[in-house]
Amino acid sequence: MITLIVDTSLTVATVAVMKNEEVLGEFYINSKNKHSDTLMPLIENILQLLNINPKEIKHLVCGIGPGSFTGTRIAVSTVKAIAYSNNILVTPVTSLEALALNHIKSNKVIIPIIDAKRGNVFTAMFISKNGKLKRIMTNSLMEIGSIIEKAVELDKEIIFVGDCLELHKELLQKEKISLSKKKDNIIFSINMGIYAQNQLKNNTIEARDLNPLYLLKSQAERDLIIKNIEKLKIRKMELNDIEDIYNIEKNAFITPWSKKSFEEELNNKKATYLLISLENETIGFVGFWELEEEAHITNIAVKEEYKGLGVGSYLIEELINRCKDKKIQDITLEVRVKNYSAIKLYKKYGFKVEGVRKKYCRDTGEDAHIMWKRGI
Amino acid sequence: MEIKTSREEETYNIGYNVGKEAKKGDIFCLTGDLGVGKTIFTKGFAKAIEINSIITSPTFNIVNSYKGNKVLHHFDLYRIKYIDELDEIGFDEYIFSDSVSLIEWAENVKDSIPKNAVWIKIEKDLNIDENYRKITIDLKKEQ
Repeated sequence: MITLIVDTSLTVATVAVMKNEEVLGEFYINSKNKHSDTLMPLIENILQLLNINPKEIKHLVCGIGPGSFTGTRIAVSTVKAIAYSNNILVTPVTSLEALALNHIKSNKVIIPIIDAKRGNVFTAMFISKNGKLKRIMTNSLMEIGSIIEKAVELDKEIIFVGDCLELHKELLQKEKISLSKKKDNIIFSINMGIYAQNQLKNNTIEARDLNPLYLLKSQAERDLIIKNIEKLKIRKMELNDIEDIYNIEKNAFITPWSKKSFEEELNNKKATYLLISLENETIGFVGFWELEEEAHITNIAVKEEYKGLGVGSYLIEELINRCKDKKIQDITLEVRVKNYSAIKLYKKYGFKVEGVRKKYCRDTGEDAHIMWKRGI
Repeated sequence: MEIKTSREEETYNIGYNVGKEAKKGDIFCLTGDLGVGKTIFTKGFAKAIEINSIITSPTFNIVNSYKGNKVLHHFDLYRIKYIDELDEIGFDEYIFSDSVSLIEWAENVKDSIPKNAVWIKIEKDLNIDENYRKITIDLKKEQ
């Protein structure tokens, strides 16, 4: 049985041919954005050189992304056409699996990342067990900071592989993280072919079911952003909000404040606590103390399922506006050095790291950045 | 920067001069009411990057791409109402690239426009003259 394997989801266009379990050939060409020009000649030539008639193809393996928007569609539509006309089945393989396969011999946790622009990456996590790829995290679209944070939390040896290691080099240079070599950051169709035969025997689909893999923020999240912006309300915390706030606090921090601390804050004239709610559900809060012409942010947290949707940004914007009204000049806060997504948020609003608080975290001994936004 | 023009050719020339300065990866957002000369500006802009095809409005197809000494993506986002519709056309891949992007109606999706974009506003003032145009170029290059 002849299998044709095709992928154009990243900068490399790659095709391979197998006869049962035997590898007959593989082409790859780093054609950047020229996949539409190169893919058909690659397929035509490899078949010609192997003296195979297109009619002999009985199985297809197709890279479905995530990756380049246009690139992914080129392989998918080409494979779809071949599958329809020859009436054969297709095994879809994601680019994240394909990249992870380059490290199938590694005993580290394999984390593929593919550039999704604006500081986001498509990602997943795998481990290799007895030569088989095992997934330990679903395909996701997230900020580069968040995946690094998750990776570091695993406290295991990790290898990152993908097309944007260079871009995020600074953030990735951490203990226990190794970076894949350049030659292993591209997709090899032959690996996909072998993988499909070894692990995806029962995953074949019909041509009409073959689609590029969309990884967007989940529908619920998108609905929240688009339809409910006007329903987000920010107001001051009251006594009967403390239960909700405490629950968010508990999930967000390693050493959370107690309910009693929040109660005390209500009586603290210098303290202001703002909570943000969506249709009466409290989804986040921020607190600060006014000390002369400075504001000190005491804590800010967003409910787990609403993270990464801009709720934190709303809170910070509101806080800055309120500080402006109160003629406050500077705002400061302390943040765990490994809390990359929070640091990114603060930087977006003009906070700069000005110092370090050693051993800030009582449990882990982790340091904290002291950040300031001056002259608001 | 503010420039005042009184003839179409001047708007074309300003487009040309801005186009001459365009580098790979640059993003220009062009705003202004219907009939102020956005298309004239774009024609001058495209000429400067040695594009010889006829520039037509991409209102229906949202984006037209042209090849000159650089690739130009000419967007008209008039029909885009929600930011997530941009995902459906692969917007990010066009604008974060080695090409030059010129975007009309970018004000519809302001949050999705990178901070380093150059905003160009063309305005009429009928009190001054029918052909009078004020062109404001806002170069807020934040790294």
